[in-house]
Amino acid sequence: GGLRLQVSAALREGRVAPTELCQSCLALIKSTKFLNAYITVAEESALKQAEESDQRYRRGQPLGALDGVPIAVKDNFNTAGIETTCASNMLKGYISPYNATVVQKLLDQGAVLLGKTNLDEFAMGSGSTDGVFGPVRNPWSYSRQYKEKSVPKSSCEDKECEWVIPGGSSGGSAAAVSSCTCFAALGSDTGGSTRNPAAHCGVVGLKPTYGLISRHGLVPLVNSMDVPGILTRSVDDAALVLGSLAGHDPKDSTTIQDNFKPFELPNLTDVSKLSIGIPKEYHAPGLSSEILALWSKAADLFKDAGAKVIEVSLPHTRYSIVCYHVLCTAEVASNMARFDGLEYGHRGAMKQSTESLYAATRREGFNDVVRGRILAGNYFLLKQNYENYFVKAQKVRRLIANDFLKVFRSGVDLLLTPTTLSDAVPYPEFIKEDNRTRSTQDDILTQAANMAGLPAINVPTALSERGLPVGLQFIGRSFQEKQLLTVAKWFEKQVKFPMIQLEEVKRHDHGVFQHQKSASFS
Amino acid sequence: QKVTVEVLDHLEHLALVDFRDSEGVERLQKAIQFAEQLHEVNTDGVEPMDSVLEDRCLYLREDDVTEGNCTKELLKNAREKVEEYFVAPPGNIPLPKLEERETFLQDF
Repeated sequence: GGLRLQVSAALREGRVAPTELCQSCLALIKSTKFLNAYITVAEESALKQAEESDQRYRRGQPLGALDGVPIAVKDNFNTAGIETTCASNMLKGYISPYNATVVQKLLDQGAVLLGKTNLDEFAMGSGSTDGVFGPVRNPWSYSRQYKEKSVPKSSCEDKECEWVIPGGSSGGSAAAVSSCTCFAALGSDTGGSTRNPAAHCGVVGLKPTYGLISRHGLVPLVNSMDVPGILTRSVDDAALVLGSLAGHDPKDSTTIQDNFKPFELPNLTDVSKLSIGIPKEYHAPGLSSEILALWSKAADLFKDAGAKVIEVSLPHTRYSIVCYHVLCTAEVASNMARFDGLEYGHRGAMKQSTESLYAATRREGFNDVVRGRILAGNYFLLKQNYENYFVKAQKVRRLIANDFLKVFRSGVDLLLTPTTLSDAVPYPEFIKEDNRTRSTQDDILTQAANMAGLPAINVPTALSERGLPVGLQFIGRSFQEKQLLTVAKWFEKQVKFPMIQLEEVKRHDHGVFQHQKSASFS
Repeated sequence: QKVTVEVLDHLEHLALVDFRDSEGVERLQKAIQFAEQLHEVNTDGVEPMDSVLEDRCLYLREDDVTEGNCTKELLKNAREKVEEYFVAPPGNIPLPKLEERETFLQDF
């Protein structure tokens, strides 16, 4: 036994060498450049890491299941010697002097870092459309499954066909995993930024419990809600990556000190002892009838297998997004204050005073979304507003967290909800609404888990009528990732989500890119 | 209830970012309006929550120096430096008043 990715078995058995795998992935990245999933491809260092891995395998001494496995990291994690931009002009050219703890842990396991993935600027957004390097495209836009279902435009230039968004803000990471250019990717999740793109790109997106994984080196957005997120093509893979990342980090005092033991997921066969809660407030306005039907079908799946499925209530759900809005902007106002042009990043040209330098730097470095949140946050933190907005939001936060506590105390093990309101929309439609409106709409089903610090996972469930992925979300109890992932794995096995049929992937596949799956849930 | 020019100006001073145009101001107005919904919730007797880990003790390590000496590394990313110093323009000079500085708010 032993924890393994499917690709790890291939590496260990010598069916493919780490350098071959790395080269295939790099070639695939090049041929899928139109997805704009990567901001930086670290070709040289990746090949070097792959060579070192080759040697370890030849000596029969791989570091673990992740040795030689190509991974990608969202560009808001610090990576030593590699540019970290957060998709912002503010950090263009910034070369990290250190590795984020999670990056270091992956490298220590022998993982091969292919590059940094694209995102919404400073992780603010739900579409991966608002970064300075342009929007990320959902790989499913180019899948046979989507093309078969979409009405072709009369003059449709090959790659310019109406592509759909990957979701955000970790859209680049989700797209990278979905298009098979890497086997696992790191994202971040503050309001749903890992689960949302996971749902739209048909991959597994895990948001761990707050405090389980170190945030050291992750450029902070909301200190009390941020977590590193894990994106993979299977639940087993997510468990494996979680095992190498979780645990106390002395460099992040918000990580809990409990001993974390990596675990292998059992193959659950009997769900009769499980109690699944269906929160009625997650039947949110705007939820597509398709997803509603899928959610219902999933609940029936558990019921038919003998689990107890009951409707529960989280009465403060609809205030979660408002609460988030206030707390997020307030923390953002504080966290973005470090960008002043003096120590790193972009520097304005003003020399009259430090204040005018800071103002010019920030004027030039931040996009509208970031500036908007900073200004709103500062408003809510004004002395005359502090009690009425910031403290009020903190109180509402407690009510939201208590809602979950009550439900879990009543005997419910896990909650089953939709992840998104609909399948991915085409880019021109998405940008019709502004960033905050979009985030408000899109985060509604994912946000509360961040508020309460609970673990949550998106499991790709089925394809929509348009041929695009739809996922469902499981929310678990604090630090009960093993239970959460065990049930998620059982569900994944039942639904048999189809592989993406992408021309480019077929060309570069060694037979290790994708898991063998057939049939489908819908 | 619209935000006054004085408050907008004050925010530009505090945040050291600018509203840029009427859209920026609109954005703030909408954000405030949106946040108003919080007042529908009854929070009598509810304590504010700072962190979901409030029931745990924060980790404090020993006050020993375990790393550092990376001046060169850290200075690499600074645009302007002299020897081992970051160079900054003179401080304690506030931003010019609304009438005297280049801001969209002047015509507001």
